[in-house]
Amino acid sequence: MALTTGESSDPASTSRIAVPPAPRVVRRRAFLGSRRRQFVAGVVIVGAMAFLIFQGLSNATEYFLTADQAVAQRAHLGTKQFRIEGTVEQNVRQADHLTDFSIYANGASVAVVDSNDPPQLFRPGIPVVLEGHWSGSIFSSDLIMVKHSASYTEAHPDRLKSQLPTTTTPGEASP
Amino acid sequence: MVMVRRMLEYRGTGDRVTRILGLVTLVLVAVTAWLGLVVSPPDKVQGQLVRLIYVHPAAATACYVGFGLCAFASLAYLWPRTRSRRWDRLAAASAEIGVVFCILTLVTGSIWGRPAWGVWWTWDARLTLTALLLAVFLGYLALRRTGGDPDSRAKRCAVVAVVCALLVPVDHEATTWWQTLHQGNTILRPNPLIHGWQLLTMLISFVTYGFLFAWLLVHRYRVEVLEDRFEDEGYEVAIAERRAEGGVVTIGPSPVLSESLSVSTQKAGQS
Repeated sequence: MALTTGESSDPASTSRIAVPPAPRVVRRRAFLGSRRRQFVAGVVIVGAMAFLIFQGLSNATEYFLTADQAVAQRAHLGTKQFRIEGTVEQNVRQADHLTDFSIYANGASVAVVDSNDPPQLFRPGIPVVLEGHWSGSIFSSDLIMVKHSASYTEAHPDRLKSQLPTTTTPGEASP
Repeated sequence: MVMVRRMLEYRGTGDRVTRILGLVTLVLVAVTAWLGLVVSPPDKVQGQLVRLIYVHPAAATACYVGFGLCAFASLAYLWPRTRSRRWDRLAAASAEIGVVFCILTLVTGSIWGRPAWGVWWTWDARLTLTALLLAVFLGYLALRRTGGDPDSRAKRCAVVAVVCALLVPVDHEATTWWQTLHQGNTILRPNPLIHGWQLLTMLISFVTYGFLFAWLLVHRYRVEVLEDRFEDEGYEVAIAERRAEGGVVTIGPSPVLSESLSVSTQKAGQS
């Protein structure tokens, strides 16, 4: 019997021991086992990253202009689509799928007409970011996004206390 | 076949510690749900929508922790004095859990964004960087599945993980550095902007996610150990079986090899 290798140097021994063909060892190929799949995966990942970086960098650095910046750059902006940010004033009016209101920021006020339904949290006093363009001195908006602040206040903080059963302490006069 | 039998005989990735950890996690999830849905009052501005704050920020934090831990373990692997396959496994496990929480962050954020902001998605800095973070760590996980020598693959992946994790602090600070639709920090500031039941529930949600993360990490790490064992021993068993079928004995077999060989030699003797 041979040691360490599967081949025998003696031709006679080879003829004595009939070596059966070994069954093929079936190994499941790894998900990215082939070079072709790796290449496709690489192209998809690089493409996705390039798209995200492009979108991110072109938007992130100047995601919106505040109302005062937009007013100052009105001539330069022309009818170009951009985002404007400001706080909604009290004069909100809605009629025929149009929302008419004003926003203000740093002392500048901008009249807005929006052609879509505003989101659930839209109301006077809340900061918003609008997508649209200048139409003369009015900002024509086609998307309202509410930019709510990072602060949270409980609507009725004493709710739990009011639900607790009331107890009468000894000596306390009952009505 | 021997390998498959051994895998089936293995009792899994759980033990007493993980069962206790899992039980504590389950209790904490129930407590968070009760506090978040019943006890905590609605918000003055957001109303009932505020309840997503007990899911979304904690998921984002778990995602950051996962990717941060992956980078830390990768650095430990790259450092010659601490190089060990354990660090590589920890990096793989934490990255995968980080990806799960990153997806959860994006999904819950989107669900929150539609009624609160008015849009499912917008390309502001925070959202874009979080999507980018997910994409690069999916790429990292894909890289881990490439073939080749395990050590060189581990080194390659460790370098990529450290580079990818540089996005984590950038993503976290995005709301400070750039104009975003996404709101800024609520808790990590000198005077937190949340109080009472809302603050308490939010803090408990962080603890809950911490336990969930730890529980998942232990199990995923142990799966990684099993995968490594399968990869290492799978080749040995295949070679041993092939040689045994030819009636060949190899010097210095491993325990697995011996078992396989003894069975094959007996069969050869009988025939």
